[in-house]
Amino acid sequence: MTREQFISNVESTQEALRRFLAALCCGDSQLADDVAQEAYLKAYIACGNFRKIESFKSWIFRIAFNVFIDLRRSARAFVNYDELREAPASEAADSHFRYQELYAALTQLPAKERTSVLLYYMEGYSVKEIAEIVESSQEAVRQHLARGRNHLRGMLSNSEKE
Amino acid sequence: MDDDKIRDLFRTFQPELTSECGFLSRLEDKMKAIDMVKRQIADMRRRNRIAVAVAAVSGFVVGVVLTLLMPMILDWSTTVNLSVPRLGIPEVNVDMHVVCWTLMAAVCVLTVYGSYELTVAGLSRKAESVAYGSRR
Repeated sequence: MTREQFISNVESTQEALRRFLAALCCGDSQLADDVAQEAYLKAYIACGNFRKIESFKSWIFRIAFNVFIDLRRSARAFVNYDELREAPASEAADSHFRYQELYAALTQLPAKERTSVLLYYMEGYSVKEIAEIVESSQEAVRQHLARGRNHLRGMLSNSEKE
Repeated sequence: MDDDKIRDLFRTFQPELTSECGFLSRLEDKMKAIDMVKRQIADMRRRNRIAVAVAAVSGFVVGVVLTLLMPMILDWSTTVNLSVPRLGIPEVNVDMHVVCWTLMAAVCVLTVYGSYELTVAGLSRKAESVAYGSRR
């Protein structure tokens, strides 16, 4: 893949990737940007050997997911549920507040479940494609989705009652 | 809440993003830095390949020349041996062939090492002057 091809692929995928990562990072768009930047740079370093241009989007999502997991392992700058609840009003507060319950519900999901749910509902990926991105079996992804759905249902119906 | 409700929830879900231009320009800057490092690594590899080739050729040439000169060197060493005054030290029987071949090997190794270092230094200096010139 040439530099120009890479840039055009970045331009066509960056919005979806950043949106997915923002949801994965529970609304922390700065952290999402950092993960996206690192993922694109890793892809750029390795893109000389990448041939399947048509599957660039899945490839970059897989890299971004791995970067996110690495970042989580290093346990830096990660928003938790309590922080989210006690977050003071900021410039982006309106949109953040709008999705606060959803973010809070997503924060409770383990990384793989959250990723599977987001890829399935936000990006419209199939179970097979998600399995490739998160490097799990299709059966495992189905289980992640079922658990994630139950989790979300429980959390969101509780918040509706409140 | 059924599956459709979750689907609807995500359909209207638009997380806040930072500016697209800012993101792309930051990425472009980092890509330029990576390009520069890639270029430098490629240049270094090229210089190294040239230096290895020069060192191999010079080592081979010196080896061939010394091998051709070996009969003369052996004659010269016997003459030197004969002309050395006797100092009452018990004579040690040294095989001059072994000494000459060992010396020749040492000269070849030194030539290879020296020409490699000189070539790398020369090419690096040239690259630096080109970069400095282009920067000016």
